[in-house]
Amino acid sequence: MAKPARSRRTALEALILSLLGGFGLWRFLTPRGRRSSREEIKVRTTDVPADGALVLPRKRCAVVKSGDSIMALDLICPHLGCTVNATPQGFACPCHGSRFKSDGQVVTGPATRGMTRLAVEERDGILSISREEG
Amino acid sequence: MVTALLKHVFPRRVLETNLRITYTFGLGGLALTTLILLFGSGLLLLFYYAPSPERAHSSIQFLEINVWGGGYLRSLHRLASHVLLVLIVLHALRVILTGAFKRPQKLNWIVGWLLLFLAVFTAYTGYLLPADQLAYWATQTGMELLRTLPLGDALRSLLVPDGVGGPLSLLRFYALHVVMLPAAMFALSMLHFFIIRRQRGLMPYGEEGGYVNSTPHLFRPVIRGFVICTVALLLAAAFIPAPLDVPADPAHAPNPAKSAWFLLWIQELVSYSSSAIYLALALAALFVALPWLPVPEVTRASWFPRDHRPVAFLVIVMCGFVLALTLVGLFLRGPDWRFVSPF
Repeated sequence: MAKPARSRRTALEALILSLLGGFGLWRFLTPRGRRSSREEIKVRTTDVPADGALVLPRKRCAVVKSGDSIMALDLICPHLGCTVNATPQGFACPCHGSRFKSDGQVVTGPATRGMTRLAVEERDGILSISREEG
Repeated sequence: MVTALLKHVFPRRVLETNLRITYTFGLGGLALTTLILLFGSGLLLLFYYAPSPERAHSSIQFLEINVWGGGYLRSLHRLASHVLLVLIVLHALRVILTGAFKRPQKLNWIVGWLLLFLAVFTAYTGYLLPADQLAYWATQTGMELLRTLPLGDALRSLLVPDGVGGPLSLLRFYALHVVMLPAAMFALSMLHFFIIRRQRGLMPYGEEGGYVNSTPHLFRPVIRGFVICTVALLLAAAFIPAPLDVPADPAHAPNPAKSAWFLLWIQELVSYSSSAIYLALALAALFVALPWLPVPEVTRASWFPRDHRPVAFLVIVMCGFVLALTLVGLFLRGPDWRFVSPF
């Protein structure tokens, strides 16, 4: 405390050095281009059972058909990102117990919103499902 | 030489009353013993472990099946890590409940908290290394938890740049687990002991009394505790084998998917609402801030000092809360995280 000017200078130097060091370390530890940001999944329309669901656990998505409408649901739980399991009633999360209807709407929390719908396009009997990755 | 060096970390003379086992129960020393055992067993495990997603699980299998004492060593390492966490928490409780967390111990209080944080972080990074289902999903749930925090996404990308199962992430956890975190823990625990020396020993306990020389009055019980703790862990490890599940499968989560037991209370908490993570953070912050709360200072340590009754009550209630959440998560949660009977 005897030399405030000097200790202020030391503190400033330490601050600048740690900011620079922290920035460098941050850049060093976050490499570029490790994964593609867009993923496309293709399935045959006939593989999806009528009024049922085709579950693709490896792609973490499910294609659900009810009547004529087809939709794709992301199996990544909107609560904390676990992979939900398909159940006879819909979907259930093994990590925190959220439950969803087969159209992805929340039945019980802790999830506060429904499962994410993925864009689906049908062409010549092939469904293309695309997912943007963050 | 080494003995002389080690002796400098401890005080030269200690208060006779502070040597009573009912004051500290030697918890800090036992934690250090456990840490040393972890260093020893971990160093030997380095000879066989391969930190890549393709080879990690098979290298552990090889260790378990083809290596004499390999499975035992892994059990010892796992058991000791769990015991270390329990000992650090008990030690912290001892410090709080004897009133020794106020001035002049504030700096050591912070160092102690860093040590607990590092111990949990080291245990967490070690959990992933066997790359079995248990490891993968416990790490996965922990990382998703991190995302709910402010700056969580940034921290997550720093820790697991290519996702939990990725080669970079495994290598990163490995580097943290075997070099960075143990080095930091060793340095901080030496500092932790050295600060006690600088402060001329622990806060005086009980009635007035004189000083005695550390050799042999402190070192004799320290060495005795070291030997007893080591033998107990070496024996217990023979009866509590470390589990090895099937290799990690990102497509199929075990049901229920539980995180490591020492983080299970947080998982249980956020299964009610994701914002409950802030309750966990607030609890942790309250614990760290304890010496700065308007609590009167005591000059002599004693169990449950009268002036500190509200603190003792608060801390015991909070510990009970965390323990209850852990037990619910461990025994009462079944498939789809539904309540089940433990029997």
